[in-house]
Amino acid sequence: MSKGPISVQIYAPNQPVIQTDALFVRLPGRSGDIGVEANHTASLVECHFGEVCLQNSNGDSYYYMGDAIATIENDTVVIIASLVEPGESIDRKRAEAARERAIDRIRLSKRDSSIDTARAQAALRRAELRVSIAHKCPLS
Amino acid sequence: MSIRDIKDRIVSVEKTKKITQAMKMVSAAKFKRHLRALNGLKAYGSGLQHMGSALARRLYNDDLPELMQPSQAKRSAVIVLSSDRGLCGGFNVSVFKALNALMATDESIDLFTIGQKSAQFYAGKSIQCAGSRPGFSITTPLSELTAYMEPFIEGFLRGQYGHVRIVYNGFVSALSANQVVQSLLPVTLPDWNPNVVSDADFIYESSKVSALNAFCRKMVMQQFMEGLYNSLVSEEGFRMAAMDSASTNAKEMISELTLFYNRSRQAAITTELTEIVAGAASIT
Repeated sequence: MSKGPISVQIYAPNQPVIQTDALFVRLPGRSGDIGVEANHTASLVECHFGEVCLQNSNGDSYYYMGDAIATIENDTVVIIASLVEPGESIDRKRAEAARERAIDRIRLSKRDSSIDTARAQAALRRAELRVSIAHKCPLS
Repeated sequence: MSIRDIKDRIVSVEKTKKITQAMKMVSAAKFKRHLRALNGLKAYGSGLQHMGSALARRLYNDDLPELMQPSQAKRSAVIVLSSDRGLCGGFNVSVFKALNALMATDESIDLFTIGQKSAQFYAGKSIQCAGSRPGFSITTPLSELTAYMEPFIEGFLRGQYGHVRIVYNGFVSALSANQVVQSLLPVTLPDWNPNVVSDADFIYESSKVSALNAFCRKMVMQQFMEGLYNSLVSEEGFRMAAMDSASTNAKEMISELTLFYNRSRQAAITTELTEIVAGAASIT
């Protein structure tokens, strides 16, 4: 039996509040991805940066999200994120350029000790994720 | 003052008026942009408050994360938000007055200034600033703001500070602001009552301590940013009003000088005519 929709609210300082419904929500929890459907147990979820996927009968929508926390209660998911970008508004060329820069920095860090390798690797992971989300969204 | 001097003065005041009018227009554009950002941040804050209410119903006294627990430390850190530039009327003075009133009641304060005007103001006083930095802008990335706040959070966790507060001009309207002393740490949940706690199932991912601390850090950052954005909006509002007032004064001054110029010019013409007539009369 298919479950009813859940209400999703995404708050971030860089973006007007996103309010929508979804049949299923996938969140990038710190201890692994978390799926939410209607009648989910009330929870507080700590998320790291990653992809949020909202599934609906008319298709899926994707968001790039920075570090976040989310509460799930009464079929409502409230996400408080440091940054949110809807997949459609990700600039694919810019994301790809950021990925290339991060790859160059990691390559250079082998010769230049002043470059922070961990930071460059984190930048690469973020850029790759944004590129991957942008590719999933047809309007980007 | 000669007629030429008056003419030069009128030209000079007209130029000043053009500058103040341009500055007013720049401030008006910034004011609108900053106000939009502040309203966006308030919406984000309402989401956090909503989450805080949900958590408040489930927290026993023993569950409080470290950032919510009252500290025994006597010293407190106070961050004052001022502007980098002047020409904004009483914007800085009003926030310094609020800070001085706070410091008069509490001597165990470490003062941190944001904005060059507060650093300059307190440099000439007996009060020692524990730290100063130039002002942030609306485009300052969150990572930079977080890096600024991190030592205060660490100081609170280490027991160096019992409270961390910010003092700023809270935006009311383009022409007025109220001075706000906002407590950032310890984090407080307005709806929390340890005697009324729900026992219903609640799952914490990844762990209770980590999730609650993450929530508290977001609360601290949101309140700090809201203070900062309030201050930036108020600054532009004050500057707009100050430049409007300066433009009006310049307009009045031009009108007075023009009248004075015309009178002086007329007096000079009359004198010349009188001299010519007197000269002609003496010849005939």
